[in-house]
Formats: sequence, C-alpha cells, structure tokens
Amino acid sequence: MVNKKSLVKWAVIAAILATVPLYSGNYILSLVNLAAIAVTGAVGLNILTGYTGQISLGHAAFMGVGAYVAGYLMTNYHLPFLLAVLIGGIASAIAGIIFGSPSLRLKGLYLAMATLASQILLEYVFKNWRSVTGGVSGMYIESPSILGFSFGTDQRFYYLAMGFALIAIWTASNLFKTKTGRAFIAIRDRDIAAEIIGISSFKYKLISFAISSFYAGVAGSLLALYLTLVVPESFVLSVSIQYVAMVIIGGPGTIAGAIYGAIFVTLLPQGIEYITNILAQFYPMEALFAALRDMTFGLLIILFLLFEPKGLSDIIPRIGRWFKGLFLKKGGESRNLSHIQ
Amino acid sequence: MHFRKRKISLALVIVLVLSLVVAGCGSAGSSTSGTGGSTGGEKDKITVGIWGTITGPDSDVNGMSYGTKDYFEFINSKGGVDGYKYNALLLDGKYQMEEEIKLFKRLSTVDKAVVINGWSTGVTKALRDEINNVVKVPFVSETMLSDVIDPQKYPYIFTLGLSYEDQIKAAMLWAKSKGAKKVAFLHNDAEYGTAPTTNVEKEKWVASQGMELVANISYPMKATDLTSQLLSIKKLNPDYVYIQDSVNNIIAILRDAAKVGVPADKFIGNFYGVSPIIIQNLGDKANGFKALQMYQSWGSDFPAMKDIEEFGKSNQIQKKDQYYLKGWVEGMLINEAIKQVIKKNNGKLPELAEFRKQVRDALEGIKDFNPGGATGNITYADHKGFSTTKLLEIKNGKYTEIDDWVQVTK
Repeated sequence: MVNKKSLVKWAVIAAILATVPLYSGNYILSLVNLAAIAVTGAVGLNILTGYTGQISLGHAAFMGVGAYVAGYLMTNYHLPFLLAVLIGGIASAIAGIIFGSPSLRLKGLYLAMATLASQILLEYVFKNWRSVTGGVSGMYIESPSILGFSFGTDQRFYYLAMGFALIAIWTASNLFKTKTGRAFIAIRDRDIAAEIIGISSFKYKLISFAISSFYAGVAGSLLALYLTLVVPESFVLSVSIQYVAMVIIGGPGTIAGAIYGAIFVTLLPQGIEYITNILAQFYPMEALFAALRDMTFGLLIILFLLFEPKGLSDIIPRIGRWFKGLFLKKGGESRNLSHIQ
Repeated sequence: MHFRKRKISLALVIVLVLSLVVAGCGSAGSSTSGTGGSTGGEKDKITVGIWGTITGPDSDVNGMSYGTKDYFEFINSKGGVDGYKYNALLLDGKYQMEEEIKLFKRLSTVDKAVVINGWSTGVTKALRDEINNVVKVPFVSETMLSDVIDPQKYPYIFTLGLSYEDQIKAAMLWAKSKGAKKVAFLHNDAEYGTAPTTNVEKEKWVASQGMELVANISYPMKATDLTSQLLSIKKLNPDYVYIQDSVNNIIAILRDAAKVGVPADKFIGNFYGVSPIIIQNLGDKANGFKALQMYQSWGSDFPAMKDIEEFGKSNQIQKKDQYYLKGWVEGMLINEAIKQVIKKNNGKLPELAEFRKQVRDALEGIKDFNPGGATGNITYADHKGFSTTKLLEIKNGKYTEIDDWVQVTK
C-alpha cells in the first residue's frame, strides 16, 4: 500500500518535472539548468563534507578535471558525450583519491589547507598545460547530441541536467543504506570509534573522496556541455567556496540540504537583485545596492553557521510543521469544545 | 530512513512549486515588455539590454556600460527615436561567467531585448553559438579579443575599436616611427594578457616591420613582485616594452622598473592603461609612460562631449573617462541602426526576430558614421568600426597627447 502510494507520488513529481520546459521561458530554464548542475555537484560534496566529515576546498578543481577530460575526449576522439561524461567522472574520482590521500593524516583545518593546495595546483595545470587544456583560452566543445538529437537549447538541456540531478539524488540517498555509506557516517561521528569496530578509516575516507569527486566530475562535465566551453575561470577557488556554502546553508549531512543549498545559492543573486531593484526605485544608488549583494552572501553564511547549523533542510520542514500545527490546533480546539458540550 | 525519504520528496515538491511560481512570474513579466505590436495610442518601448561589471574585478572601466545606458536616456530625454522611447536595462554581470550567462538569457528571452551590450571575453566566447545561431540577437561586446571578431563566422557579434592585437601593432608602428629596433612584450598569464601577445608573436608581425621582438615575458596575474621579469628586460635592453595589462599591474611594473633602473618612458600600455590612479600611485616615476587612447580626451571640445555635458546637467555621470566615451559611442551606433530600421519599416517596429536581424544588418551597413567627433569615422562592416588610435604620455603628472592618430592597416 505504502509502495503504491509512494509510486503515485513519484509519478506525479516525474510528470510535473517532465513538463517544466513546456511552460517555462529560456531564462527560467537556464536558472533551473544551472541549479540542477549545482545540485549534482553539491550532493557530491555533501557526501564528503556532510556525511564523512572531511572538508574540501578543491571541489571546483575536481569539477574542472571532469570537464577537461570530457571536453578533450569529445573534441579529439569524438566520443559520445555520455561516455565522455562518465570517463570525466572517473578521472575526477582518481584525482580525488590522489589529492584525498593526505586525509589519512590530516584533519579539519589542515585537511582544508591540503585540499586548497589541490585547488591551486589543478588551476595551475588548467592554465598552463596548453596542448591539452588550451590554456587560459580554454577549449570549445560541441553541444551534446545523441543520434543526431542535439541538447543545444535550454529546453532540451533541461532533461539532461535534471536527469543527472535525479540520478545523483537517487544514488546518493541509496548510498547511505549500504555498508559503505554507514561507514562514512561512523567516521564522521567518531573516527577512532569507527576504527575500533573494524572500519578502515583511511580506506573509507578515500572512497568518500572518490565518490564525491566523481559527482564533481560529472557536474563539471555537464557545466562544460552547457557552456560549450571549458575555461579555467569556471573552476576557480570562489566556486569551491560557493559549493561549501551550499552544503552549509542547505544543511550538512542531508541529501535534501544539498538540494536546497544548491538552489538557494544559485538563485540568491537573482533574488537579491530583484529586491535591490525595488529598493533602487526609492533610493537610486545602484552601485551601493550592487555591493550589498556580496555582503548579503557572506552575512547569510555567518548567520547560518551561528543560528541554523542544520541549514535549510531543518528550517523548511519546521515551517511545514508550523503550518500543520496551525490547522491541527484549530481541529484540536473544536474537538475539545465538543467534549465539553 | 523514512524521514529522510520524506525530506527528499519534500525538497523536490518545493523545487516544483518554486519553479512554477518563478515560471509564472517570468511569463507574466515577458508579456509586458519587449517590442511587440502597438498598444493603443502610446508607442512601444524598444528594449536594449546592457550588462557590465558594476561590481567586480574590472569595475574600474565600467564607464563603458554606464555610457551606453546614459546615451539611451539622453535620446529618451530628446523624445526618443521616431517617437519610440528606449527601455535601457543596465545589469551587473560581476565578471562571473555564470552570472553573465543568466543575464544574457534574461535579456534575450524575458526582457526581449532587440540589442544586447555584453561584457567579458569569456562569456562572448561561451555564448557564440547561442548569439549567432539560436537567439540571433545583435551583441555588442566589450571584449577586444580578435577570436570572436569574424563577420562571416559570427555575424551577430560586434566589438568596437582596435582589437588587442591591433593595439599592439599600433604601438609598435609608433615605436617604429621613432626609430625603434628592438621591442619586447610583457603580459599577465590570463587569457587577456597571453592570447593577443602570443597571436602577434606567432604572426611574426614585428619582424615584418623590420624590428626584433627580443622577449615576450609572462608574469602571474596577481604577482606582487615583478623585479625578476624587469631585470630580464633591463638585460635585453629593448627600445620599447609593450604592456598587455590593466591599471593595477601597470603600477606594479612601473614601480619595479624604477627599482631596477628601467625608465618609465620605455613602456607603452594598451587602451586600459589610461588612469589617474597610475599617476596618484607613482608620482614622478610615472613620467614618460605611454598608453593608447582611441577616443578624444574627456572634457575636450567635440560635439559628443557637448551632449554628455548637457546630459550631465540633470543626471549624475558615474565615470568621466574614455571608457564612458566608448560606451556612449556604442549607444550612438545602436541608436543609428535602430533609426534606420524604423525608417525602412515606415515608422513601425518589425516583430522581434525580424527586428533583431534588421538591426544586425543595419549595424553592419553603417558607413563613415561620425560619432560626434568622439573618435574617427566608423564603418562597421568589419565589426570593429575603426582602426585609429592616439598615444598619450604622462608628462609632469598629466596625460598629454603625443603625435597624431596612428592607423593600423586592416
């Protein structure tokens, strides 16, 4: 019964998701597409940071590895894009294992530094290995297509980006039903205790780095396919920080959190612009309001860390419960009255 | 476990609701803007989309965006073009590629802009297909990299003025006229620095002019100490050194050049090397430094400046420099093309796709157009407009014009 019910629910969600391009303009779809790519990447970082407790400031660089590998294979070997994305993901996973290996000895701030080094190192490689990456000019790639069907428009790319995002969500939520997923959580909660009960902390940390980087590689490849261009500036440190912000704002250690965070951070500039445009009508100081945007971003991260460490994934259900409570309370009162009568 | 599942599905539901709401807003917004058919007695507005780095790393040259926006406001204050007023939208791309892409999609689909005035090299490259083959919207970019300037391959992309490569050539031609035998390039390691200098080097253009390119030296974009690079320059002793970079790094270069004993008068900067900040920072050490100027000096006597001064009486002018003049001239060109299209259609506005195509054709057809004396006459068939530039030199703490216009052979 429960299965049937959930089946219906998922079918409805799938049907609605499938029809989004029919009633949305290109602009909305471009926002949704970028958000969907961010969801794929953020779910990946959340596996590492939220579930395994390992911080990474090199997520954008791992995205870059996937993007460059996929782009290189597509332009030079004319590989089908799905295969190229997959290999891009695997290449990122390997990079993740290599740069994640210091996690055996390093924790917290020191691990953050080590992953920061990987970000800087890989950025340098992107910029200077010109024969492969095209250097700072980057490389052009064709719009993805299957059997002559091109995903070159926002409408069509939507299915690709959303498809990958849904697979990412589904696989990640199932990961934590497996032994490996539970080992991650055990390491996050107390790595020494995890070792005592027989979990090889090093092995599972590396697996976590590999899986997380695989997601990053896929997200990076998708971004490259969407932009039809791979350039180093898409994978700089500030992008890594944005992904960390997605995990923090969304709520570390929850899949829903990664989704909320990715959407929130992707749409935040548009939201703030919308508000500042209204304010600018009363106080015409465009430059000041524009600067306000960056401040708001920083301020939000601080406020979330201080007051809502569980992030949006905790706030949104709470709001839901509050609404539910309003109705229930009314119902409860009427029951009480009937009892008195 | 069950709770997490519920959370995920709740997240998806919220995403759906949000996308529905946003989609609703989007379509509601689009029905009120754009250039569609005439509504009642009042004439429609013509939407022009502009974005620049209002906040971000290269905001010191964002006069280019303010200038275009202000020109359309100026035309509006004069009653518009053939009675049609402009709806000129100025947005902040923050010099972030994803933000700029969002703005392009918004301006091209939600706001239904007839022409878009965009910003960075990266985004112009990323959007090349969409601009030319999908949306087909005239796109006047602020980039000067020759990679995207190709009227056949990219018929909808326009730039204005000399490409970075042409700027190098103009400076070298000037150096040649001063009897230079040996020259060198100095550039940052970003695309902006690397690509143009490498292109000119590969072309062996300097040698074709009878000079020797003794070095093409790269340094990190965010370098704080450039003494080692400048020591190499000192050793090679070229007659002139061309700097392919902007204000901040030019200051670092001239500061370290003074340290190792290379005089500032050996250095020539590009179009982004004209800034009072250089003089403020370096004082006497800046004397002799040269940079290119494609537009008339701000405040000198020419018709476009009179218009700007008139506009400035009732409006605040954000940036008073040659970058603003560039933006102003871009506005003039776009306005000229739109004016021609309206005339061709007997005072009516064509439907959007046709409007965009006709504006593109009109832009390309602009010939010997005088931009109020702000620069030489413009012929836009090559999508660059003009190929003349002046050189400025810092003399006694002031940029002073030296010699007359230098012409780069097309």
